Amino acid sequence: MIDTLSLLLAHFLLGFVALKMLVHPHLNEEPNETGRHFKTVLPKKQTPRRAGVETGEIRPGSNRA
Amino acid sequence: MRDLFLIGFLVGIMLLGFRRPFLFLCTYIYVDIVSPQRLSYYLLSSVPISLMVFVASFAGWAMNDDKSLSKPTPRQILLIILLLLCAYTTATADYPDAAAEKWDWVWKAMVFAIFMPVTLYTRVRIEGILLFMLLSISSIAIVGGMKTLAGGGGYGTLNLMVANNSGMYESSTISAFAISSIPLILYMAKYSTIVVPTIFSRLYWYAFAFACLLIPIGTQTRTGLLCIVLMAVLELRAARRRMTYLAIMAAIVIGGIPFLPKSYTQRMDTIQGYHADASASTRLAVWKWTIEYAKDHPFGGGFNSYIGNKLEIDMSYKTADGTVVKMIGYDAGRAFHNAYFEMLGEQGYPGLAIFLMVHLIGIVRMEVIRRTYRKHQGENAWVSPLAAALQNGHLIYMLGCSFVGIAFQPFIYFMIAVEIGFDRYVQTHIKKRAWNPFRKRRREIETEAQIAQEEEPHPEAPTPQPTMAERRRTQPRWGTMSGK
Repeated sequence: MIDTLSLLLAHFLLGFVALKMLVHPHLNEEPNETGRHFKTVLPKKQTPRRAGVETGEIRPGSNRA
Repeated sequence: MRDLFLIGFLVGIMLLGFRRPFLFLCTYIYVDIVSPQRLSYYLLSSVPISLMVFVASFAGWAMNDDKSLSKPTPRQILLIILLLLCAYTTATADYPDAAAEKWDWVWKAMVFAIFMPVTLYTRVRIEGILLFMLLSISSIAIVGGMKTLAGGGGYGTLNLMVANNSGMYESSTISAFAISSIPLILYMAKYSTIVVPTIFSRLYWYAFAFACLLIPIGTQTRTGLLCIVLMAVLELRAARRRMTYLAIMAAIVIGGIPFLPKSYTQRMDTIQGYHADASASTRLAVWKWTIEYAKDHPFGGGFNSYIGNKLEIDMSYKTADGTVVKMIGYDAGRAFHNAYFEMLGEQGYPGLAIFLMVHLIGIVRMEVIRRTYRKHQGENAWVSPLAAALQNGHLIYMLGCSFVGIAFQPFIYFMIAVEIGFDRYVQTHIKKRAWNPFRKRRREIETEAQIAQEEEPHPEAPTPQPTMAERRRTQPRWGTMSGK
């Protein structure tokens, strides 16, 4: 009786642990638990270059007297 | 019925293994500790389950797991050397048949200990293996504890479900391992993430620890009593309120002694007078023989080399009136009863040296981790207690194995494997996360290397020396005498 009951208890708990491990999301990879989330940084959008100092072109109206 | 239940459980857990191959590894631990093939009567006893699960766990790792951390550690290399030494001593053994019989299970335990750390690269895996080890041992310890409470104990007579008193089911072996499991049980009660600490889980873990404490009483082994004393001292180190802890221990000892069976207290009294006790005198004689044997066989005599011993045992004792009664006993083929002498007799001085190195490195590494992360809180709070629990369990084993020949018991090799895996886990995951003001980040190291590369002159293209005319042309001139 004692043998059977303790054997059953041990096997029940072993099965429970096996099931918990089966569904555990972090069994095969360690989670990143820092809790910090970073905004993804995209490449900067190119602003259109203004005529004038940047391009060396003459801006309209700059040659007026 | 028991056969069917055990087969059902094994098949079920193996099926789960196909979904998560790491469960094959857990199944191997279960098979090795519980030995369902020994508990069953017909079916399982005729199938080589251990070998099957061993192959399945290796195949599961090869097909599924991350192999980036499979570089061997120094302790794994030491274990490989020990395995090769064992193979050599088995091939040149004094008693080849007896040596081959022991080699059959030793090589599996050692290969598994070498392989297992490679698979333990997450916290869940480390904890899962420990849980399987503890729950497997619980199937023996709880039976023993309950039977002891019911009054069915006695040296070599406590029935632990199997008739033969060998392997993990041997009285002194289960006593030593049950006590060395207690620090890990107490760790699980507090820090487990798989079996989350609740009132019921804690109740179970404490009841299990109590059952483990009852095992040495039920089996009436002196080894177990010494292990309990060492465990109480080691746990004192971890206790926050040390005076309260000491008071509770004293109360348990004073309150518990009257309830101990008389046969137990009588047997424990023999620890003091070892000369009059046949068992202790025989051990001393075997150890003396082993030292002499190792002088002739410095590389050991292979497994079970003790078969060849012929002992002359001094059992003289002093009577109450001071008369010394001379008594000499004769015996032959007595086992080593000590893991250190077992290693010396079977694997010689190199084997003993490797054995000590493997164990001592483990204990020292756990101490380093315990001290480094002692004050850590939050997500790393579990690191130091686990290191302390593994270290305490290991130290209890080191004491227990002074009285039992358990140098090659798989349970301690599992513990060593977990220590190696845990150590590497701490180095790769925890050390990275811990705040260290002197730590250099990878990008800083890369930038420094880049700057150094840019600064160092190119060795293949030496700067050419300018000619005199060129120098005259390029160097600044500070004016001429003519004033031009």
